[in-house]
Amino acid sequence: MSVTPTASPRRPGPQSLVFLAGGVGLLGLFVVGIARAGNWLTPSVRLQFRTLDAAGLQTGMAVRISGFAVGQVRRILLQPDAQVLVELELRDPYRSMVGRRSRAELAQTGLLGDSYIAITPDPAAVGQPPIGDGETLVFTSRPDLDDLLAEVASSRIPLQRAVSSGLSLAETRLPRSLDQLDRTLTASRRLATRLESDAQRSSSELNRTLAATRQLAQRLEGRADGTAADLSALIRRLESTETQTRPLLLQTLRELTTMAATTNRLVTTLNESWLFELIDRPGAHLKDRRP
Amino acid sequence: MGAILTPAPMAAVSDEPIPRLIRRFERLDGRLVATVSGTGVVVCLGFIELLRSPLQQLSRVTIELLAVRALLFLGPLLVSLLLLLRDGPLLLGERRSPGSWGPELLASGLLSVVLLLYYMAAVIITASLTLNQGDLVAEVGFLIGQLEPARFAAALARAALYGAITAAICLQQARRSSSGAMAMASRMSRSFLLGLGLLVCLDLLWTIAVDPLRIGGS
Repeated sequence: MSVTPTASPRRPGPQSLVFLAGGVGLLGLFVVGIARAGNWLTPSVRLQFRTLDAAGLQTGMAVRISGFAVGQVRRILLQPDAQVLVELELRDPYRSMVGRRSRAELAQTGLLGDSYIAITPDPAAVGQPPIGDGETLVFTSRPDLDDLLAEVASSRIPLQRAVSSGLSLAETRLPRSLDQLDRTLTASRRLATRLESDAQRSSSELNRTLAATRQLAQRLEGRADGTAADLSALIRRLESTETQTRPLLLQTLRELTTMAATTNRLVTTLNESWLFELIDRPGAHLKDRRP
Repeated sequence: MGAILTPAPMAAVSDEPIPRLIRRFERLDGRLVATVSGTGVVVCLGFIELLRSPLQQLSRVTIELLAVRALLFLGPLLVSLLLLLRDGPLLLGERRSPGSWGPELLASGLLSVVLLLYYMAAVIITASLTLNQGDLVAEVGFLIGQLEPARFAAALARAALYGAITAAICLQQARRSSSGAMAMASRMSRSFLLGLGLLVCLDLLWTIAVDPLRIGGS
């Protein structure tokens, strides 16, 4: 591209205009991306907390609720009382999840991941007036890695003792227990074998018994059928006999009744007669006849 | 790099500021943008490989962020030197008094800013493509979002400043009275060396005075 001596003022070529427009577009893209990441385009609320140690805290680090990014750390200031004031920016849609019982703590994604500020949600805040701008949250510090390592180191010796005692216990008791287990298993196997043969025998005898019982039941059934038939014939005969003998019996009974009444009158007459008094008290009739 | 070392037009040009600005912007063509973008791609690939090889345990996002931020720091120096190689012959072909350097300095500064934007776009897309695990668009958006505004604005300002400085060096070298092809080549070589040395010194001063790794941090 060269410039001729007679060049007059003119617009840049279309290619240059395209690349200039591309540069402006890229600038806009970068600005919009940065603005979106910085939540410049969404309303937000500012919260804060105080801590005694700024280690691990960094401006721009994410603020999360339940692992979800809801804001970021805006400023970290050292106060005159040597406390560290941390200002958070929380996006407005998530404001209702944070209440006065919410706590902030420094958390980390995995062992080597990024650190972030985790805010515990306050379920009581749902339905309540949202937390106000500039309110202070309680910060709970997590155990330091050095403290954890020291704790692990201090617990190493008791752990080693427990492991060694467990090993010695296993060395002494385990073989015996295994022997006993072997014996128990052998005895169980023998018992199972015996039970199996007994069960086979019992089942064959049971089969035989069942067959005999079945035959007996069939015989009994046959006999019961015959007895029932005989009984029916007998009942029929008895009925016919009863039909035939009923008039005779009635007549006999009437005669017997008549005879009983006659006998009764006879006995009464005899009882009142003097002959029986003479038999009971001999001479009594003479006594009555003496003057 | 033949496109960069375009022969300088030795003819007289208008002294009006607007035509001079337009003449400079006309040199923003596909070859220059491709050169800058290609430089961004190559440097980014090399930097990521440099980071990834000895630091196998470092996370993918950390490598990307480190590459993008480090190359944002290096960007102004690289694009200004590329602009010097591209426009140096043009600027060395003119003799102007320091009072009339304004349009050239402004144009070089703006061109340097535009080239830095292309360079950063190439770096971010390369980082996203190299270590991508799925959603490329989301990853590009994430990397752009990780550029702190202060760091980004400082890089743009440095690019503009460095571009203007390289243009001033060329215009200053053009004021020497010697003429001829050898003298022109000598002035170009001297301009490049001066520009390189001065920009490196300025970057060093920036590093010491401002500590760019802490810009936007706590």
